[in-house]
Amino acid sequence: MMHDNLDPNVAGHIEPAAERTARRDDLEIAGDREVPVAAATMPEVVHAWLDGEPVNETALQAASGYRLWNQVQAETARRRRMSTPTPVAGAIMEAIRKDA
Amino acid sequence: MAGLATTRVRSYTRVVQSVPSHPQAPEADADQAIINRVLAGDRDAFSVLINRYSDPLYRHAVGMTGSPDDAADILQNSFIKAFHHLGEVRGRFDAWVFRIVANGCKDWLKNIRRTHLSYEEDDQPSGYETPDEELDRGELRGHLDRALAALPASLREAFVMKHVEGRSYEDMAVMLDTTVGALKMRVHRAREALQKLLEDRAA
Repeated sequence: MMHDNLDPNVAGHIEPAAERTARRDDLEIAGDREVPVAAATMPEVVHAWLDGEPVNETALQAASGYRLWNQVQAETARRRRMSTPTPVAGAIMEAIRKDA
Repeated sequence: MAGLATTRVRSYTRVVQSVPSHPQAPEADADQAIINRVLAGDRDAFSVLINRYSDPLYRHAVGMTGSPDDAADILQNSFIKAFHHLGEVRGRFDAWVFRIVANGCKDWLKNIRRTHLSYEEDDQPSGYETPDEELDRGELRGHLDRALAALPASLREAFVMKHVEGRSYEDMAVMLDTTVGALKMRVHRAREALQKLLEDRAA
């Protein structure tokens, strides 16, 4: 069976580096691409804090990654206040009534 | 789904003062009473269940898909499916309907060729003190979306449930029919992977 080789780098066309970089950046936001899960590097105190467990405040603030997770926490808290767009409930009920 | 186009709301968030609610036993009993009314022919009573549970389910779908529009579609399809199979509910309604939404998200992830992550800004005051902090916030939001999209679905699901939906491990265990220990492990692995991805992007 023959297969077309669609890789532009192999099919006799050398893609300019800038384009290649842009394409790579573009691909990085693609779908559910799985990544290798990193080896554990986060201090346990940060995990414990994120899990809502009591922690030593001094140790927490000195822990690597604390500042980053503090920012992530602020962002996830904002997302936790999202609510369903108003028309969705009405559209569901309309679809249900139409099915009657 | 013809109705969906008209119902799509372009804004990423409509921020309200609400927190996720997790039903206690009396609420589960109340759910069963509503279900009985619907099964007896009172279709409009179903809207009570939609209003009670749509917000945490919507957050889950947005967290999993990164797309408010697709999340609204998944939510709509899931509730319609739930309505048609309401007689099959055993146990907690919220856990049952959650599984329908979660499966809808997983199907979406299998089918999607490209996640579009273009969130529109909400119009709420940010609460950040300086333009630099505002910029940091915008950058972090984009980086977090991309990092979440790169996680395996099971880790993304666990992270979103814990941190975006604000669920307890015990509640998650009921929803996903697994153990607290397994979920802690998933959330911890998700954090490790996210931290690596976020640090790489910031470097």
